[in-house]
Amino acid sequence: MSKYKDLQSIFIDRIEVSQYIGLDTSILFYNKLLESIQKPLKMILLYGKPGTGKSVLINKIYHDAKDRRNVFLISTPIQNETEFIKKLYTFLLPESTMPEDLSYNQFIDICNALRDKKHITVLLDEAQLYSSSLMEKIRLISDTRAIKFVVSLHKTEKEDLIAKEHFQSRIWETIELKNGTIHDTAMYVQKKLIIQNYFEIANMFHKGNIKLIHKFTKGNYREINKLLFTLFEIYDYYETNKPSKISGTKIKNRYIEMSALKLGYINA
Amino acid sequence: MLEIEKLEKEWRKYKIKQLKPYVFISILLALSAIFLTLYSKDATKLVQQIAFNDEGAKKEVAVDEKEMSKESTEATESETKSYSSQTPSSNTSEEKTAKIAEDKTEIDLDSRDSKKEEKEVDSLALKADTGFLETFAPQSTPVSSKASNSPKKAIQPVQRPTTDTSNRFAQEMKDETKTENTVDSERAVKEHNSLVLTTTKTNNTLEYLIKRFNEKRDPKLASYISRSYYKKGKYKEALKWSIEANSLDPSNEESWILFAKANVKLGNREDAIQALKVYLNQYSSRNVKSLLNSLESK
Ligand SMILES: Nc1ncnc2c1ncn2[C@@H]1O[C@H](COP(=O)(O)OP(=O)(O)O)[C@@H](O)[C@H]1O
Ligand SMILES: [Mg+2]
Repeated sequence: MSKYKDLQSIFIDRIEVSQYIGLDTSILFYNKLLESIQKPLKMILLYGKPGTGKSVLINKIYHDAKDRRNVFLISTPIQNETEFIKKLYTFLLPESTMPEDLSYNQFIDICNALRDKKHITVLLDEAQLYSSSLMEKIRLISDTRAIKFVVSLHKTEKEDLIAKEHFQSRIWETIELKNGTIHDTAMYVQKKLIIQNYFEIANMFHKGNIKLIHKFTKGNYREINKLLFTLFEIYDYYETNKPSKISGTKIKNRYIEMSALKLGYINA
Repeated sequence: MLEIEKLEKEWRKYKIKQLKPYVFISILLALSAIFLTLYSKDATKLVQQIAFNDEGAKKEVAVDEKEMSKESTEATESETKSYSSQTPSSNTSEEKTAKIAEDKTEIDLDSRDSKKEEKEVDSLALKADTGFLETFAPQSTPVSSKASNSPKKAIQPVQRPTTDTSNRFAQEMKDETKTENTVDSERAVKEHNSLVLTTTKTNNTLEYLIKRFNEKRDPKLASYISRSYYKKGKYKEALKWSIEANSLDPSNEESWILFAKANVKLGNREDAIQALKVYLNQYSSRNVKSLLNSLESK
C-alpha cells in the first residue's frame, strides 16, 4: 500500500481500544465516568454531539474494567425487548439457567431476588435508538439496583427531553462530552500519526495547519478524521500524478482548504 | 474518485472570494482617507468664512487660538500635577516592597523547614537527575544545569522574585510592578507547595507510587516513575511510563525528554529525534531543543 493510502486508513472512523488517545479532555471525561461508575448510582447519562468520542470512551471503560464479570457492554442496541431482557439475564446468571420464555416481569423479580447479591454495570451505547417504552423499562430495572446502566446517547432536542422526563429523578449524574480544544486537536492529529510510527508526517503539521483544521472541524473528532482522510487522499493523488506539488517539509494550508471544500465545510 | 482539477479551481475561487473583503476594505479605507482630508480642509475654510463675516472676526479667531493654547497648557499642567500626585505614592510602593520582602522571608522559612524534613529525599532526587545526564547528554548544558540543581531549584523560585522586582522597581516604578509582584510571590508560593508535594512523594517506594498512580492517574507521578526507572537503567519501563505520562499530559516537556532518552538507550535514536521535533513543533522549550541538538550532532 502506498504511504498516503496507509495514512488515509489511519483516519477511518473506528472504535479500537488499542488506538485510544489520551487527550486533556478525554482523560477528564474518562476519570469522571469512572468515578461516577464507582458511586452508588442507578443510572449515568453520557451525552454529547456525534463524534465527540462517546463510543470510544465507553469502549475504553469497558476494556479497562478490572473485573470483567461485573461490567458489560451492549454496543449496538438490541431493540427487541425480549432479546434485550435475555441478554441482560446472561450478564447476571448462567445462560443455561434461563427460562424458555423469560418475560419482563419475571426478569424484574429475578433482579429483586438478586438485590444484595449481585451488582453489575451495563454500558449501553447509541441509546437514542432504544424506544421510549424500552427506555422506561430499563429505568425500572435500574431501580432494583441489580444493574446499573451507563446510557450513552447523541444530544438532540428530543434526547434532551428524554433526559428530562425519564431520568431526572433517577439519574444522579450526567456527563456531557464536548468537542476538543485546539490543543486537543493538535494532540489528536499528532498522536494518531505517532502511534503508527509516522513521526515525519506528524512533524509536517505546524500550528497554522492545526488552527485551520480546528476552524473547519470545530474540534469534533469524527470531522477531524474526515478532513485528514481527505487531505491524505489529495496527497496520494499528487504523489502519483504531480509529485512536485507535495514536496517540502510542511503540510500546505492550501490542501487543507481543498479538503474542506470537498467536504463542504466551506464553499467556493 | 477525486476530481483534483475541479477542486483546484474551486480553491482558486475560494481564495479570491476570501481576499475580496480585504481588497474592498483597503479600497474603502483609502477612499475615506482621501475624502476625510479633503472634507476637513473644506470644513475649516467654511468656519473661517463664517467668522470673517464679522469685522472683529480676526480678533475672535485670535482669542480662540489663545484660549486653545491656554486650555492645552492647563491640560499639561493637570497632567503633570496628577503625575506628581503619583510620586508621593512611591512611599506606599516602598511599603509594599517591605511587605513583599516579609512575605519572601516567610516563604524562605517554610522552604527551609520542608528542606530539613526532606533532606534525604532531596539528595535522592538529585542523584536521579545527574545520573541521567552523565550517561546521557554531557553536551547539553542547559538541561544539566537545570536538572542537576533540583534541590537548589527548589529555593530559587522563591528568591527569584525579590531580585527581579528590585530591578524592575528601579526601572519602572509604577502600578504594574505591584501586581506583578503579587503574582510572582503567589507563583513562588505555588512552586513551593508543589515542591513539598513532590518531596513527600519521594518518601515512598516505587511500587507504592505505581499503586498511587493507578488511583490518581497523575501525569507528574508517571513522569516521576519513568525517571526513577531510567535512573535504575530499566529503560523499557522508563519508556513505558514516559508514554503513560505523555498520554495524560502531552504538554509536559519532561515526558517527551524521558521518552527520547529512553529510546536512545534502547537504540532508537531516530524515534527520539523525531519525537522531540514533534514536541518543538507545538511548544518552545530550551531543554528539548538542546537535547535535540546534542542528539543530532552525535
Ligand atoms: N480519545 C480518542 N482516541 C482515539 N480516537 C478518538 C478519541 N476520541 C474520538 N476518537 C475518534 O473519533 C471518532 C468518533 O468518536 P466516537 O466515539 O465514535 O464518537 P461518538 O460516539 O460520540 O459519536 C472515533 O472513530 C475515533 O476515531
Ligand atoms: Mg458513538
